[in-house]
Amino acid sequence: MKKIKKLIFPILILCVFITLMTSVSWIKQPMSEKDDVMKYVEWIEQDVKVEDWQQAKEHMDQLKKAWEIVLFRVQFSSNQERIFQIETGLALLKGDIIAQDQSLSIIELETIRNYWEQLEN
Amino acid sequence: MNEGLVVMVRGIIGFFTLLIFARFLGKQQLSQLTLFEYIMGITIGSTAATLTTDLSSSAWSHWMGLFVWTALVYLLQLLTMKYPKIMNYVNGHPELIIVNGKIMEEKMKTLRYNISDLLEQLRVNNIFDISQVEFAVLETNGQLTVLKKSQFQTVTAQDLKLDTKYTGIAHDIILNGIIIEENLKKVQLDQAWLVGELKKRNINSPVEVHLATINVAGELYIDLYRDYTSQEIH
Repeated sequence: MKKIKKLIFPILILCVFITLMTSVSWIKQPMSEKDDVMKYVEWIEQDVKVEDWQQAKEHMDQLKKAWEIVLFRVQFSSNQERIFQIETGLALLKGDIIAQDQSLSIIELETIRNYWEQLEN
Repeated sequence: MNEGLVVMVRGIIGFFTLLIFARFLGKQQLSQLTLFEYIMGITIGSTAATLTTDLSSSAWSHWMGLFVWTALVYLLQLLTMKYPKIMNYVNGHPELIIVNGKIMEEKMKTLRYNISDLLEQLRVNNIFDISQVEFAVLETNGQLTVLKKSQFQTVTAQDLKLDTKYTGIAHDIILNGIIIEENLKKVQLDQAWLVGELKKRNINSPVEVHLATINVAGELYIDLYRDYTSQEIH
């Protein structure tokens, strides 16, 4: 019994560590309305397609805020490079929206989607 | 991204993982490690350090590396325990460097072990004159085991046919001012007795004691926190 007790504690600690390190795929999922990154990406895509740049700008700000919330959760399990890629993608998208460039905005939205998918790798 | 915070969390993961894995691998002393085991230890430690500070890849990939290396070391430990041939292959085997007082130069050459290494390790064994050595064995952990010629060996009580008393192991009964009840019970004594003994020595409380031990003969050794620094040390 004593031996089992001695084993359980380190196994529990290791399980907590493994969960923390491998949890990106589910902790990046939205936990509230404010942190649904992919929802804002879709909204921006619709805005860009109809060239509603004012609405796109507003959604861009909301997307940035949503990403900040998700970033705090995923920073412990994801790698720095993937995070920087998404942040660069967001900055480029913001620029494309300000420049009101439809094709570049669509390209950047697809790139962000791709980086988002790869966040857990 | 808060890099400081991430490094802190990863540091905690690396530290406790290493602690758990090291406990799992056993209690081998550093001096008992073979060269291969020593290198494996360094690699595992280095992987844990990378896990903490290399943020360019995920903590999980480093952690898996740490896990695989630990698992392989454990597997190797099991195999070497079960199959002596594997142990000989992995760790090598002890080599005779001095036989009947003669240095084995060819063997030393194959082991890339030079004469200054030999003389140094003889000095570690308190031998300053190589002519006193009958046999010297280079162990797998790199240490030299020496058998002196019979005329230079230390005389023991048995050689002098002297009766000796059983010494046994002394028990710690106070450590850093805290009474170790468990050890007191082992020697069938209690706290009241200990406090009485301390009073006899003008010690008011166990808190004043740094270390107290009791041997098989019932003799107490007491070291106080208060040092007699006024006495000159030569």
